[in-house]
Amino acid sequence: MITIKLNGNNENIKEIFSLLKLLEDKKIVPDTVVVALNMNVVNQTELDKTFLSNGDTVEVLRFVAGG
Amino acid sequence: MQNFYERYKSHILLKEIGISGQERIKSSSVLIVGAGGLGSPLALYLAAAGIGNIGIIDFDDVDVSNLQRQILYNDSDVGKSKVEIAKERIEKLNPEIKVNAYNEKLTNVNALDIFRNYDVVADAADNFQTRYLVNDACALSGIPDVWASVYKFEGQVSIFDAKKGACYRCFHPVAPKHGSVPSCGESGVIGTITGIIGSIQACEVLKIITGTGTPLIGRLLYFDALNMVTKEFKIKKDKNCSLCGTNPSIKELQDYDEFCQINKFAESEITSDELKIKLKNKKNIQIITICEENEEQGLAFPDSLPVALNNIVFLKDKLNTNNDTVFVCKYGYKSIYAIRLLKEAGYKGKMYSLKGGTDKY
Repeated sequence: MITIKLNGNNENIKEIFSLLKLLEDKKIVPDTVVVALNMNVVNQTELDKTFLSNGDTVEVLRFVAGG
Repeated sequence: MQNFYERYKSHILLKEIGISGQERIKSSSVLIVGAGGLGSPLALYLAAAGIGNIGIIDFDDVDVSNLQRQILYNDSDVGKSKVEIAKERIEKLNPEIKVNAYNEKLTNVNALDIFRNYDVVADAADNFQTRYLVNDACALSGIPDVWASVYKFEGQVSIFDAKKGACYRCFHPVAPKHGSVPSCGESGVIGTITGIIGSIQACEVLKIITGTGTPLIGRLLYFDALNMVTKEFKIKKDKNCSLCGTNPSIKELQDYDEFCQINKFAESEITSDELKIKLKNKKNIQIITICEENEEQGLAFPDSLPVALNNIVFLKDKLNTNNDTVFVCKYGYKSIYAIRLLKEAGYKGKMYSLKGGTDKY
């Protein structure tokens, strides 16, 4: 197990865990959010290829168009 | 000229702007897309700052529900064209500027022709189709897209300048499915966040025009007014970007309704009148009201079953496929999305979405 921070809260997850899997586990539809790993926005096409490491910070923001 | 020094004294005093910066502001032209919550502070501050040529495009009329946040308008403006009122208001604020009001929808037909006349575009639209359109038209015209967006208590700001950094497609290449992300009208929004975020947007416009400070190119500013926290994220330019990457596939404007899949399930739509007749004539109709989770709301259809979008797919095994199912929500977007989710889950029964939502019923 590794520990990451998801929107400020600690989460224990299995090793070799992708950002896409994390969203699926949290029932978040990937195209409705912006995902940042350690304060860098991750391109949607890279979510399945981006694996989490111990101590990583993940922020999931809503992707919004309101004006 | 004396009026110039008097009027802009406080800008001219700033060494980062000075007389030359203020002259640059005066000779610049900025297009504001959307005259709503963000467009209001944008138009007011850019006019006050002395932007020589301001364009505003929007096809809406002022609605009483806009007045909670759209500070360009007064109670007596309800029912009038937004851009006409906006022009009148900011010309009164600063008679030295020129204002072009475009009382029309920004489309893939008119965008490039309009954008050609401006140095900078500020995207204050309220839907994804327009936002992808603004981004693409800016990149194709070689001008920066000063972008901002709000939701409930949150705001996001960035500058998408394909010449210098990431564009909107590098940030988010795939549009969300239509109806999956609620609009301000559906989710609610605190009026002040549009003022805060629109003002930051106006500040970024002035910075890139005067070439001062560090603009938000390649950076996303996230503002959470509920907890008063700001965060900053880096946005990398995507070398595989379909618009601004090394081998782009997008060389002209696209069909943005199609890109955002607006019309995909339009055949399932039913008008208020059709639904009224249907309800009169037929008994085996099940109405489902789409609501947010934990949302307490008066149901427009008291006999309907309230279901959150997250739980829609569970209806697959509960609905009777011999009955017609009508989905309703406030504006008729989430209800279309619900049909999509159930179709994708394999539900075979007949489904309808109330066009225009309960708001128009």
